[in-house]
Amino acid sequence: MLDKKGQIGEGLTWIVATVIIVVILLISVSIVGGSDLILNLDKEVKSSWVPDRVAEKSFISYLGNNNSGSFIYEELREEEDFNGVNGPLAKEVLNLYSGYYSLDPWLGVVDVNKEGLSDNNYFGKIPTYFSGSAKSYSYIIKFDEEKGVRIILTDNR
Amino acid sequence: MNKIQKTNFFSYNFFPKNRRGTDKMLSMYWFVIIFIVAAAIVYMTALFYGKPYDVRELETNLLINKVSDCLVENGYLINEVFVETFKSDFLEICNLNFNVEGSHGWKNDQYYLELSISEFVDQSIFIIGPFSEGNINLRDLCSNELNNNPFCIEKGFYSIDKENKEYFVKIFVSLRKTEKNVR
Repeated sequence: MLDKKGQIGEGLTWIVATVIIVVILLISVSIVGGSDLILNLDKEVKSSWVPDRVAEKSFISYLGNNNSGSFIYEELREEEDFNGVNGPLAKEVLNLYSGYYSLDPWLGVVDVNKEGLSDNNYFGKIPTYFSGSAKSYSYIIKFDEEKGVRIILTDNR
Repeated sequence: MNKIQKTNFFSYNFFPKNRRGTDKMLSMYWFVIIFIVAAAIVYMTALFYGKPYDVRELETNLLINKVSDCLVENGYLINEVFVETFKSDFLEICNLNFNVEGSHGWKNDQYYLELSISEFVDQSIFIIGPFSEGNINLRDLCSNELNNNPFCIEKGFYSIDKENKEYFVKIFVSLRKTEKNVR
């Protein structure tokens, strides 16, 4: 008789343990199924960043334009700013991408060692928050160790 | 020796006659619990990985990148663009293949690509095209809001030729493949 009492206690322990295990599993399943985790992963895949080769093509072709007798690349390197001819053309070329990015595209001559200090009359101040959480496409062609021309396309949606 | 035989599963003594009912119940519980845990893990894994990722936006962007890479070299439009047979040889020149796997009843009809090259200053004056490859029906079904419709992207870029003439290249891509990307 004394033996039997012990056995019932052990059985009850297992029943309680089973209930606890099932409850823990149900909680885990509901966390996986009900959370935004799956939704966020899907969103992440949809908005994954593919390098904008199309914008890069425009940028390179723009610098290779020599309608005014010299390459725009050379003009920018010597003058370190846009002039009355290559500035409006730059604006026109980059306007092609306005609809694709939440911020206006930026192009200009930059000081490679002093990021964030560049500005020009056509695109204003260089965006300072193009890194971090915002998705940004940036491409630079260096003239030398100090100067270069840079394109920045930023999407912070 | 007798003790060793008792713990061996294949031995006759694995279920000794002197074992009490509770011990057998506990074994049953273990099996039930293992089954429940395994089922829950399988269910959670299926829940997590069972839904396909919609990668059509990535694929269309990659296709546009591939076409732009093909048409422009070092900032200049390639010479083949201005050859009369460019339209008919486009897929071969750009090394593209719109064939798809035969699943879901697909018959190589999941892609549509439209290309045009016009003057940059006046984009209504076409130099080449617009011409298209693939399933033209996909063009009119575009809706990026509705998941079951094809995913479409249009992008354009500025380019020049060796004589410094300016062009606007427009690429439109529509991609279906809903069965593998949306559920």
